[in-house]
Amino acid sequence: MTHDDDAVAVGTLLARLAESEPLPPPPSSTSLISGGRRRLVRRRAVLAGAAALAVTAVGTAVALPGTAAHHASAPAASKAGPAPAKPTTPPAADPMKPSSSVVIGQGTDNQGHTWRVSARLWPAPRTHDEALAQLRAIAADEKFPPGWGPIDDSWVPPQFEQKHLQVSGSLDGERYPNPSYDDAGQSAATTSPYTVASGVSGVLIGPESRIGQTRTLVGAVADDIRRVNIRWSDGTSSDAPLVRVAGSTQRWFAVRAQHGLTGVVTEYGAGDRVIMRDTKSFGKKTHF
Amino acid sequence: MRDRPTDRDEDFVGFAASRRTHLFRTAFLLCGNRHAAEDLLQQTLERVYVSWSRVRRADEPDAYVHKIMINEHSRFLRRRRRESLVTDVPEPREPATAGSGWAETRPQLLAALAALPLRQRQAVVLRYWEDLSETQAAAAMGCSVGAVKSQASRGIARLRLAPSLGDLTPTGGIE
Repeated sequence: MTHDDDAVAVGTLLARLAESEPLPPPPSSTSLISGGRRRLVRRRAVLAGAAALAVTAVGTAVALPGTAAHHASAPAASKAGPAPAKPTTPPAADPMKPSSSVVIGQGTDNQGHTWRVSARLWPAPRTHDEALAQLRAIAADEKFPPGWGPIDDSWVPPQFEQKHLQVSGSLDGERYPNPSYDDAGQSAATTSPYTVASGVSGVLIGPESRIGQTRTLVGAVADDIRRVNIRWSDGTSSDAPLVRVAGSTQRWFAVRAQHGLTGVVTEYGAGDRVIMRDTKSFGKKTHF
Repeated sequence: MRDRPTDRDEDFVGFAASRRTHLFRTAFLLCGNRHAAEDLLQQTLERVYVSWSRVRRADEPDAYVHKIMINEHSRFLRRRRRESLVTDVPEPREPATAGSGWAETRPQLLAALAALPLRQRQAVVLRYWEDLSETQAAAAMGCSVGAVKSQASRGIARLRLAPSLGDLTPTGGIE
């Protein structure tokens, strides 16, 4: 087959694939515009913050005794009183090692396999290079599969200065690569009128080749969520035990999902007040 | 108080309405599932709104939108392979069954596409679904023409490895 044949064949297949997917309801123009305006506001706030930071940094350099700008007046300043105590800052956590590791869910599946989902919190990197090095450390630690490609600059998110929670699944004691989550701990105000969950994801645990991997539902909710209930499509429901991970701003859970079932997740705040119920795309209530 | 729609808003809404079907399909091929595609479409259009004055003035607004969508898509994965938000908890792989119709090929093609590394998938979608030239795809991906060539070529080679996609002719694998 020639290259042109390939192009036609692949194009035809992709077209058939794309066009066989039913179209979703159109995004409302209101949500698009309000979303766009929020982004504009955030961008302006970030730019203003960066400018303010730059001004503060310049101002600090000018005002601080002992800096080059005040070198000449330093002796006079030292006569005025005792030297200020050196500020004490706690040593920064090493971003190349997880700072905590907690089991957020475990049990036995229908086939008698013991599953476990644990979470490791990696401290926030301080620089872009450190973020890249941390990703490589995580990839090595988790044994990311080769298909995920080399860890390069393109993996480093724009907001890299965030703690990072790596979720590991294990089956009968053997770990498998799994997704990971930024521990953003976003406040509700920036994204929606809700107290936003970071997300709920379906995660399969076990080797990809194994028929019947264990299905789990792993999620993170805001710290003020008191209870998470999952109503499964067979009519049963269960509460997901919420677990704190030291250093994380969110609460985490992992429960097993029976094969063939979908779930509706409801989050409750204090007094069993429903904070969010989502049946479509968990955690993305504001869209569409 | 609600903001009133402006001329800018009306222009943008018209543009979004005219492009959303095609953009959703592109997003679907990039993401591999409809919910992530809906999110990608939403985020892309929100970013288009932010840059609307530039998009509107651009000689080729669609090229600008492609670039925004590819950047947004890369961001998805830069969030460290955060799992896609889905309605259903994924079902594990089922044993292969007899037959080779589209119903069987479709999920295999989706899985094969989703398994491609990010840049290969983007190159394949832009070149063969969007039908962009190598130069246009390179502009959207922010890389060289040579990189697009090699990524697309590797992507096709990997797609061929998928069961029942070895022969990529439209009549060979799907009918």
